[in-house]
Amino acid sequence: MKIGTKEVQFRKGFKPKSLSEFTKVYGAITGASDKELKIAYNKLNGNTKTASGKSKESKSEKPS
Amino acid sequence: MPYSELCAADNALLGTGRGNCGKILGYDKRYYLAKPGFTFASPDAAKIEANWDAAIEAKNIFPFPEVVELEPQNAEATFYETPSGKTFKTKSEKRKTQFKFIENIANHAAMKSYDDQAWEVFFLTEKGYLRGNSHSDGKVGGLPLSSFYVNAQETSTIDSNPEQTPTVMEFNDVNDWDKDYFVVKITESWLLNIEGIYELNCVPTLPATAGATFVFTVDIVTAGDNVGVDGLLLADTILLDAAGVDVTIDSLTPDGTVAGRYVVTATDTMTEGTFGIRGVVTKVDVYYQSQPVAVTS
Repeated sequence: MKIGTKEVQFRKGFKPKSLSEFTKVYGAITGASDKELKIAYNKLNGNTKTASGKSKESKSEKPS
Repeated sequence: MPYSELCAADNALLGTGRGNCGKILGYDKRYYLAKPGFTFASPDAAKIEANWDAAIEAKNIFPFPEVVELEPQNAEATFYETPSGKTFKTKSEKRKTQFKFIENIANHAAMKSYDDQAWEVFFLTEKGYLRGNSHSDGKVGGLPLSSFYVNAQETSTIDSNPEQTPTVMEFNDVNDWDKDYFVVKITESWLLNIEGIYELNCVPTLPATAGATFVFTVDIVTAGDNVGVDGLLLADTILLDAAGVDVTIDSLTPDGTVAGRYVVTATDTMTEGTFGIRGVVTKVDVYYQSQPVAVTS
């Protein structure tokens, strides 16, 4: 998957658990913007539920 | 009833007619160590390149480089002659050969790792014949060795002799070849050019980042020339934690600028482990493997 300028190989079935952790880790690796990282997070079907069960804002972000 | 196996019925005389057979196999230009017990299903199977590829990938066969010099060091049988004129064989003949290679120290070190272990050996002669040992069940294997030594590298001399790697092999039984031989003709040069597995060095460039995700950067380069290897896949790699348990790697990101540099991530709270190539991987017909390297935060 292309994130920013890097081609990241994710394992099959990888679902990131937290947007903040995903942004921290892959922002440093790819240099991508927060917007690009959110799109990638959604494409990976990253966890969109908070601990209280509410949907996170990131779910509303449509992949471009 | 007394029982002895000292007088095995092994005196059959074989026909010596020669017809139009070729007489000379030529010298052994390359050899290929094989794990004891490894066989091809038939002489024809030993002529198929894909079978060799599979055997190399499975680490059953280990090709050595091209021989530059060889010297037979056979020992003749010894006999005891009694004053009455009777002769007894006291020691059987031994086949022993020294092969020399001109290779760099990295390849020498790789060859050295095969020293003093049990092997069988296939030979490819300069005339393109593959030779080894035939088994009674129709399978063919290498000639069993009783010893195999890779001696110290001979360093260059002032009169420009290059570095050399001497190897000495002593065969288990001369009859494995003298009686139970197999010889097939390899018509193309693929076996002469077949390569062994390339050794990769995995070199972590920075301390790993620990936390919810374990992240580290590693340079993966070929041993000897340190050229980065691109095109590796996540499935080609393995990460073990400090207890030696397989950790699921979540992503592998090629640097894209520095050849052979990758960033590896795993959702794990580990702080140290080992990383390497998983088994043997193939990239554009080249085999690679590595030794595990420590990664620590």
